[in-house]
Amino acid sequence: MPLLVVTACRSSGGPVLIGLAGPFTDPVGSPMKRAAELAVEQINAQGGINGRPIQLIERNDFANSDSAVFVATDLYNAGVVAVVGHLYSAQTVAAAPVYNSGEEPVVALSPSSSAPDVSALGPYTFRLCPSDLAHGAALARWIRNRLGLERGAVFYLNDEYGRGVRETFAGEFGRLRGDLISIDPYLGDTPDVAVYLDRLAKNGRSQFILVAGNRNEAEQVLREARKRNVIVPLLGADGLEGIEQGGPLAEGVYVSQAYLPTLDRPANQRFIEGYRRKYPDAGLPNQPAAATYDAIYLLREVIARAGTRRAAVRSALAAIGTTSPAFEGATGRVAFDSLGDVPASEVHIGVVRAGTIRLAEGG
Amino acid sequence: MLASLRSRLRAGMAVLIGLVILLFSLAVKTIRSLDRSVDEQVGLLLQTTTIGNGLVSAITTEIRAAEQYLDQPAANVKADFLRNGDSAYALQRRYRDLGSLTTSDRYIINRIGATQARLEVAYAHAHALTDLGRRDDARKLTGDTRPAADTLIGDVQALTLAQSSRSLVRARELKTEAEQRRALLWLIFFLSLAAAVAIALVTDRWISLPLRRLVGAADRFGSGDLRPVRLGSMPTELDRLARAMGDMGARLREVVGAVTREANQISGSATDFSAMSEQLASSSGEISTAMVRMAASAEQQVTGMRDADALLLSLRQAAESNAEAAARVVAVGERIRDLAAHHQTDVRNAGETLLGIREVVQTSATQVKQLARLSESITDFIDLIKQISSQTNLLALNAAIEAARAGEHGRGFAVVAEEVRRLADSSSAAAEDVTKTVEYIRSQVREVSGTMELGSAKVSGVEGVAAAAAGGLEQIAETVAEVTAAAAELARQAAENRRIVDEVGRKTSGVSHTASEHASMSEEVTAAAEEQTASTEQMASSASELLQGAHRLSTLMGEFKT
Repeated sequence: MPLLVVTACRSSGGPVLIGLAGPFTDPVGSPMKRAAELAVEQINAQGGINGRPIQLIERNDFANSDSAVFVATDLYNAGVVAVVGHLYSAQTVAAAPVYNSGEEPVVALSPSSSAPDVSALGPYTFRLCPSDLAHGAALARWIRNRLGLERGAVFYLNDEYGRGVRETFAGEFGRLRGDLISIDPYLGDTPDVAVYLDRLAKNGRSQFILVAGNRNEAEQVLREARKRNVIVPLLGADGLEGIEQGGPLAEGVYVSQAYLPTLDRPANQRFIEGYRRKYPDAGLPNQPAAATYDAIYLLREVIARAGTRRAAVRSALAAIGTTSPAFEGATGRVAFDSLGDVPASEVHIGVVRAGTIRLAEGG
Repeated sequence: MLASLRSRLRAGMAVLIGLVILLFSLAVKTIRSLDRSVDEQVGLLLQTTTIGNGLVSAITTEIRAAEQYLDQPAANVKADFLRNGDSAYALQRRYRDLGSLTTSDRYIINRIGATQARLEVAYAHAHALTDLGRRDDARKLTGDTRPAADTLIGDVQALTLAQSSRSLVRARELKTEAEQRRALLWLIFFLSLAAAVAIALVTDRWISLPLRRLVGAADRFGSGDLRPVRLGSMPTELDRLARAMGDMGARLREVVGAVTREANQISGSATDFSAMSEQLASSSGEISTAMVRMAASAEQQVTGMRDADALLLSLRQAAESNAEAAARVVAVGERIRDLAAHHQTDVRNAGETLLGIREVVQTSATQVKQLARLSESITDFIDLIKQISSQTNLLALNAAIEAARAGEHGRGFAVVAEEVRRLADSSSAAAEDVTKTVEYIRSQVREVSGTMELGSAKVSGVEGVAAAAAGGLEQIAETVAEVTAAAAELARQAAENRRIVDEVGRKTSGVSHTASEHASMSEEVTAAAEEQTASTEQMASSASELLQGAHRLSTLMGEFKT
C-alpha cells in the first residue's frame, strides 16, 4: 500500500521532472538557465502541465565532455521525463549515448548544438537550432556573393563545433571557387593565435578571417590582428554570441544567427518582454536562451498530450511538424525531420553595430 | 481414453515423439542463441579492432604528415595532415557509438579527442613557425609535443585492449553458459530416456498381459473346456475378442447341453423301441407256432374226419387265440408308430439344434478372422512407428553433421544427437518386439481358428448322425405300417376262420372240404407270420442303429466340459 501511494503521488499530483544541462557559469550558458527558469515560472503560474507543476533539475556540465557524461547519467537515473541540453555540440555528442541507451532512453533536446554530427546521435536526440552545415554554408555564400571576397583564412576551435563549422564552410566556399590560404586550429582554453596572424601579416593576401569558434576567441583574433595591422572583415557563426558587447573592437563583425532578439515574431516579443521583466539587468537574451525557452514550452505541449512516459514523449516530439502541427516559438517555426533536426529554420547574417547585432543588409 | 491398443500405442509414441522434439528444439535453440552471442562478440571484437587499428593508423599518418611539413612545407602535405585528423575524429565518433562502452571508456575517448586536438594545435603552430622561417622554434615546439603523441597512441591501444579483454571475458561467460545449457540438455535427455523406458514397459504390460490371459482362455476352449472364464479388464480390441470368446463358450455350452439331453432321450427311446421290437418278434413267433399247430390239426382233421366235433372244438379254440394274437400285434404296431412319430419330432429338433451349432461355430470363425485382420492393422501401425524411428535416426544423423559443423560449440549437441539416434534405435527395437508379440497373437488366433474348424467338422458329423437317425425312424414307421397291415389281415382272416369253423359246426357234410381249405389257409397265415417276423427284424436293426447313433452323439458331447 505505501508503494501505491508513492506511485500515485508521482504519477498524478507530483511535479513533472525536467532536466536542464548546460554550462550555466559561462556567459553563453547563463541566459539559458534564466530562460528555462522563466518558462517554468510562467507555465507553473498557469497551472503547470495538466495541473502538475514542472520541476527543473539543473546540472552544470561546465562545457566539459566528461562532466557531460556524468551529468547525463545522473539525470537519466533521476527519472526526468526529458532533458533540455546540452548547449554545446561537444557535450551533446559526448552525452548522447547515455540518453539513447538503456531500458528507458530519454529525450535530450539541445537548444544550440549545431554540429553536423548531432543529427545522427540517436532517436532521442533533438535540437532546436539549424546545423552548422547551414551556418557554414550561409557564411560562405555571404562572403562570396554579398561581400565578393575570394581569399581568406580560417581559424577554428578544435572541437566538434569548430570543426563542423570549418568543414561546411570550407566545403561550400570551395564549391563557390573561393580559396582558403590557411586553416588553423586553436584550443578554447588557450586561444593562442599570434603565430597564425604573424603568418597572415607576412603574406598579406587574406581578404577575410573566419573564426569557427566562440566569442572570446574571436575577440582574441581581433586583438592580435589589430596589433599586426591586419584589417580585414571578421566573420563567425552563432558561437560568436555576445561579441556585440565587446565594444569598438567588435564593430563590423559579421555573425550568422539562428535567432536575433530583434525578430518581431509574436512568440519572440512575449519572450523578450518576460525576460526583460524578470531579469532587468541581464541584457537581451541570446539564441540558446530563446531556444531553451521554446524547448520548455514545446515539452509542456508534448507532455500534456502524451503523458510522462519517456518513450511516449519521444514519439509525440518526433511527430511535431509532421503528424502534429508545427510549434511556433520565439526562435521560429519548429518542425522536426526524421533525424530530430529543424531543417526549415532560417539562418540570418547579422552585423555588430554600436553594441547590438543587427540584421545585415540582405542577411 | 486409453482403452484401445491403438490409442495406447499412439499415446506412448506421441509422448516419445514430443520428448524428442522438445529435446531437439531446445538443442537447436541453445545452439542458435550461443551462435548469436558468439557472432555479436566476434562482430564487436572485429569492429573494435578495425576502428582501433584505423584510429592508430590515422593518428600515426597525421603525425607523420605534420612532421613531414616541417621539412617540406607543401600544400598537399598540409591537406594530408588535415584529412587524417578528420578521419581520426570520425573513427572516434564510430567508437563512441559502439554499444559496449563503459563510462570510463567514454572518458578515454574524450581524452583521445582532446589530446589529438592539442597535438594538432601544436603542429599547426609549428607549421606557422616553419612558414615564418623560424624552424628552430618549430623543432623545439614539436619536440615538446612528442610525449603527448605517445600518450595519444598509448590511449588508443589501451582502449582497444580493454575492449578486447572485455570480449574475452564475455567469451568465457559464454563458455560457462554453454556448459550450463549442456547440463540442462543432459538432464532433459535422461528424463526423456526414463519416460521412454517407462512408457515402453507400461505399453508392453498393457498389451502382453491381456493377451496372455486371452491365449490361456483360447487354449482352454481349444482343449474342450467350455466352462466360463473371467478375463478381467483389457484394451478395447482384446475386450471384443474376449467377449466374443465368452459368448462362443456360452453358446457352445448351451448347444452341447441341449444335444446331450436330446441324445440321452433318443437313447432311452431307442432302448424302449428295441424292447418293443423284441416283444413283437416273440409275438410273431407265437403266431408261427400257433399256425404250425393249426396246420397239424388240419391234417389231423383231414385224416380223422370222423372225430369232427372234438376237432372242431379245438379248431375254434385255436382260431380264437389266433385272433387274439393278431389284435395284440395291431395294438403293439400302433404303439410303435406313435413312438416313432414322437421321436421323429425329437430328432428333427436335434437336427435344428445342430444347425444352430454350426451357425455359432461359423460366427465364431468370422470373429476370429476379424481378429486376424485387426492384428494386421496393428502391424501397419507398427510399420509407421518404424518409419518414424528411422526418420528420427536420419534427423539425428543430420543433427550430428550440423553439430560437427558447429565445431567446438556443437560438441555437446553431437553427444545429444548420438543419444537421440540411440533413442530412435530403441524405439525401432521396441516396435520389433511389438511386431513379434503381434505375430505370436496371430499364430494363437490361427490355432483358435483351427480349433474352430475342427469343431465345425465335428458338428457336421453330428448332423449326419441325426439325419441317419431321422431316416431310421422313418423306415421304422414304414415297417410298422406294413406290420399293422399284415396283422389286420391276420385278424380279418382269423375272424373268417371262426366264421368258417362255426359254419363247419353247422355243415358237417362239408367238413372234409373245409378241413383241406383250413390246411391251405393255415399255410397262408404261416407265410404272413414269417413275413411279419422279417419286418420285425428289420425294425430291430433300425432301432439298434438309432441307439448306436445316440451313443456316438453322447460320446461326442461328453468331450465338452460344460
